[in-house]
Amino acid sequence: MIQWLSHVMPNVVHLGWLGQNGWLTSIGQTLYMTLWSALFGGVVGMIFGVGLVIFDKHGIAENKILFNIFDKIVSVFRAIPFIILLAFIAPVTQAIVGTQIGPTAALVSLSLGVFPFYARQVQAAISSVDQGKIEAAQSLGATTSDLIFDVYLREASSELIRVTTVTLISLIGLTAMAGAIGAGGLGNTAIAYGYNQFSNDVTLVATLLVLILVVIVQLSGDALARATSHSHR
Amino acid sequence: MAEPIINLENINVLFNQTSTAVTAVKNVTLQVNKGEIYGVVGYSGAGKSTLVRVINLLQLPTSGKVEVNGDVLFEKNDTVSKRIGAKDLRVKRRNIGMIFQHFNLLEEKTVLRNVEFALRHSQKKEKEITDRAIRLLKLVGLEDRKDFYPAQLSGGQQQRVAIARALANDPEILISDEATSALDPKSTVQILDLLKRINRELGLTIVLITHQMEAVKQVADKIAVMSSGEIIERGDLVNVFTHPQKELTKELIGTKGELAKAIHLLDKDAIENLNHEEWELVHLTYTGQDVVDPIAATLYKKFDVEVSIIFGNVDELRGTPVGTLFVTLKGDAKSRQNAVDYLKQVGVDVDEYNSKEVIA
Repeated sequence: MIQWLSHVMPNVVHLGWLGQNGWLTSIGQTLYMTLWSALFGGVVGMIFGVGLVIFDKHGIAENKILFNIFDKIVSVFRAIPFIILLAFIAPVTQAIVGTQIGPTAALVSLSLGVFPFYARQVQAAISSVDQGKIEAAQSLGATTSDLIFDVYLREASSELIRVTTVTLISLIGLTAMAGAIGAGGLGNTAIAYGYNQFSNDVTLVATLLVLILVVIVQLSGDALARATSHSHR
Repeated sequence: MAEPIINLENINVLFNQTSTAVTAVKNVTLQVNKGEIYGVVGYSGAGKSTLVRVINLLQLPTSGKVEVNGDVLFEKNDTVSKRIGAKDLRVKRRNIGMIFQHFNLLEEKTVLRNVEFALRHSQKKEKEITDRAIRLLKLVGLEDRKDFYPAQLSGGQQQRVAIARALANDPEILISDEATSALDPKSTVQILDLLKRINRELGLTIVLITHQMEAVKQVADKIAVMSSGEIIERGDLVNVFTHPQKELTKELIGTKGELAKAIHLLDKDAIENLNHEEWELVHLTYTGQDVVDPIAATLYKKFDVEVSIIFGNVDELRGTPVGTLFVTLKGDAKSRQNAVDYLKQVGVDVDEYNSKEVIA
């Protein structure tokens, strides 16, 4: 088997499983970058997304100043192309993490790159909660935190799972780009060991692995969203 | 005797559109007494929903005074400007239950959790909250559905859950915003019966807004008719229904339609060769069947007036049958006048329509 594989895909086999450039190492790095930046970017994005809804005009905590601050920050970061953000944010990364290279260094720019995207997705998801539910909860004397957690976030939960899935998938794409500037992971493998060394077999396998990752995320997201929703019979 | 539990004075609500301000509620003053069912009727866009939302300040008025159960929640005019604090308002709102056209239940929570949600800030222990929620579900007849999600229930059932939720904090007031408008006729009757029952048993004051006249006919004690943000007519239900003053009120309660129908059904041949002076069309409204039964015979014998019934209808206003009858009276003017006087004397309301107008 291995013999046959090293015949058809010599470069793929040459990289090996482990080691600095091994397949498992790069899969691990991709997962590491995706999950941690999803956590950091997700928390910040969620806060911004909720803020954009509650501080908005006629929102439950209407506040023009805070809304404008949130809105401008999200818009500005959303406008910077990720590949430029990577370079632009390098000094900040150096200050926070102590290095500009490797998966951990990439977390800073990945988190910054993904949060505005997620914030807009969250904003759209919880805006879709029927205003009538908010009104009904208010008529029962609900507090702002009741409204946020029990009405907005809970009622939009399956929609939130859907947008989280979309965000995770686009984040996997961003990690590949971060790989290009030395963050490691499958993107790095595809470009540094595949494309740059004319090893098409490596590029192909790396691409397939990213694809499998995306499909897994998509399918589990869909299943979770379905399981969470009670709004249809 | 009766004390107002809701007191709205000179309420104005303006919505600022891009260029022009739209007045949704215009200088409305409204008192609702404790234990009453007060119907507010009017076409959509008349400002009914906006007006009732002022009661629990879901809608802040532009000016006016909102007083509920003796507490001023909002007052703004040339000299005063005050408003209840956010925390006090939340407490106050728990004393004012509200139900909606589209139920507005939380769809990701079970029926039981929906009712418990209303009790979250009630200082009760978890066990007591659950017990109370189950008692409320029993009251609306849905305790066996407590673990269902709203989407698994029919519209009528969802509205009953919403009522249980609205009653969770023992409110003294219940606002019903078109609560039966999205329901089928059978569920509508059930919900109205339930509202009547809780009004009677719990002494709840109910403000019912609707465009369905059938709904107010069944339950309201008093009604107010709204048009373009103003209350154009108000009073006791039976009074307003039997003596509508404004054109719009007549239109809403169908008097206009009935008159048109009567004129349409009028036997043209029978009156064609009669002089305009010799007959008239009258609209009789009465409560209690026994009054009108012998009417034709009496009028003929006593006053020499011939009565032909064009059509009649019996309606129920809050349990009281109210009959309406369109008849032509034939005879000379003097006899007809005597007949009409007699009818009024026995308690029948008479609207006379001159034959000339009817034919024209």
